[in-house]
Amino acid sequence: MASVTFSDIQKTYPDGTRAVVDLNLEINDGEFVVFVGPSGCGKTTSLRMVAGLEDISDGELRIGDTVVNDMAPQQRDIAMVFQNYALYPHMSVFDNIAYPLESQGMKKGDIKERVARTAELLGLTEHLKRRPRNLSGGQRQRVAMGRAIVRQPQVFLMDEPLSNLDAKLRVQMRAEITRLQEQLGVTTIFVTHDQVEAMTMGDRIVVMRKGVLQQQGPPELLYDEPANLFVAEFIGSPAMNLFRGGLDDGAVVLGGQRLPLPERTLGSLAAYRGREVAVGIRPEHLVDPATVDGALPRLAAEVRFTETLPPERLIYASVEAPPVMTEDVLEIAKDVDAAAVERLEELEEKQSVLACARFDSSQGAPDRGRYEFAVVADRLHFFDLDTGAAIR
Amino acid sequence: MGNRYTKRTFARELTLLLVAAIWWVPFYFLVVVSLKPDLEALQSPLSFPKEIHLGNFSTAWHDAALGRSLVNSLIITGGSVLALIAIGSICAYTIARRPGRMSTTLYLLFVLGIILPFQLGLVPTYAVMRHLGLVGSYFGIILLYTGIWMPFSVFLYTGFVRALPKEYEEASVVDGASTLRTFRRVVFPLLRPVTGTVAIFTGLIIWNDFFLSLIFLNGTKKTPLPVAVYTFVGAFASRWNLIFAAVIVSLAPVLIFFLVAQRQLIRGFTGGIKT
Repeated sequence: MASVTFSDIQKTYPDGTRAVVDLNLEINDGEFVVFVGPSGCGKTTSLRMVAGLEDISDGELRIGDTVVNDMAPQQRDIAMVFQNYALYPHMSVFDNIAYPLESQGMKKGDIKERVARTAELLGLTEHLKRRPRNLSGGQRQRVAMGRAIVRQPQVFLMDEPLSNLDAKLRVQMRAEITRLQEQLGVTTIFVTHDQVEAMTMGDRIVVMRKGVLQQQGPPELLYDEPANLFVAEFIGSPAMNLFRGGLDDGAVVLGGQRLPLPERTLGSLAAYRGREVAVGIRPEHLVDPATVDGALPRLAAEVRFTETLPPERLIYASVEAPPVMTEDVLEIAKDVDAAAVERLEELEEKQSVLACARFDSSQGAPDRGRYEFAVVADRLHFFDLDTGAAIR
Repeated sequence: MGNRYTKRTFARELTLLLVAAIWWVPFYFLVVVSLKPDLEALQSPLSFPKEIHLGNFSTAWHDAALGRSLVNSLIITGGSVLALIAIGSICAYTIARRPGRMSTTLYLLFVLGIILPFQLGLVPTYAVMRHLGLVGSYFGIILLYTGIWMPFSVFLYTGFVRALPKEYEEASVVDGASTLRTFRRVVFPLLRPVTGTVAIFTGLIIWNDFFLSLIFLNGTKKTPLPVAVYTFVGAFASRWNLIFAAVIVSLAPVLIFFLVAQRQLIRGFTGGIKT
């Protein structure tokens, strides 16, 4: 087991595309770090550079104390789980798991013992003679894990290994990978597109965008204190509600509605008085007025529809206030679906935001019609509209 | 509904059977003539033999030294096909996986090798091979066949390797295997369908080739079956019953091989990569 250190790492392709820009990151021994971001953000490229499958254009990459920039993948003592598992189709499950050990020149008896132990750990013992094509998705995933853990490498690299599984199996495998990583204590870099996976699995999350590290830290930190608009919008499901709002004396104005702000918040916003900022409200901070202290400011909205999935209910409501249409927000929308961008553009025309509130499913709320949410004003997030940086 | 056996299906089947029977006509003549004595073979070559005369086979076997020629054919075809598979696959792997001007140029050269008829360079090739002492040797003829059919082998393999997902090789390299081991244990087994195509296609052509064997091996004890069969063709008279018996002997190994390996061959051709 070892640490992994990225120092000023750059990856530039021959056509000039910069896939990774000045990446500086220290991953501690035994840590589980998740790289997350939209397509083309540089997360997989970073992982492949650690694996040695991609050349490093500049900077220094260390595994433990060794600089590995010019080392072949075989010499790095790492193991990787690929998105499509890359199980050798012509080999049995046993041969697939044994392959890394054979490559090391281990004796046959020892290989047999190690493979048997690994198969037992992953519940694959009865499938050892089968070919990958005869296994289910979850079993294939386990074989890929087995091939990675069998030789006890210094670092595990996982490139979206759960993306081919159905939703239920994904949840199960998420837990299994976390359990295995804790049990084995091997430094792990896990790449994913899915921020829910990132939030639930990692000790630390690294958010990337266009090759640049946006923020890194524990899941709670990224959720509660996003460094910029991109992280705020990307982390969290449902996403943060974003409005364009003006700051006047002691309040933020969303459309025509004035939300008084606590003193502490006003202090950090002093420099932005009289200007427009991006205002972020997490869905759980739009609450039922009946359940809270009457002093909380109110935000009037038109409830459009609700989604009930006990124990919570998501309430979607239109708020007449201008939406945030910065490049960060559009990029995330584009990553979800081209139609999401069109929907945002429609809302921009109407100067309206489809906000989401997270209620307890036992709480009463209207299915449709006018409704006033209470806003937890001291949990609002503010961002500079030009730079996207959080205002604190 | 679609599976119902109708009159139309019957008619279609009957037509197909008749067409298939037409393909058997030359084979019928081959067998019939090979079973007739000299005179009958000349007088009524198309009729059914009055008396089965198996002696043609033993005469052909002894007079043309078919046993030795059979071994020669096996050595020459086997050696050439093995070389075409071993060298062709490695060469194609390099061309497909190392993009660059060098690979493109090499690939184009191979394509050119398919287009240009080798007969154009036959005289200089003969002169060079004679100078190097390669005429009349197994090594020489194997080298010649390998060279002539290598562009075809490389062309087929390159197309297949290009379509092969890179992840298998990357997984192998990350698993600690050298490039050679990756090729031997991971890539080459995945190339099985195209290896089957190269083996069958080039194997049949080389097994049946008469022209090059005649030029480069005639007059030696290393002649393969087609040249040996030619022994019975004379300037003034040809013993067709013996020639046909010899042809049947030379066909036998190919037919036996096909009957035994039929299922695996078809699976190999049509299988692709099952992940």
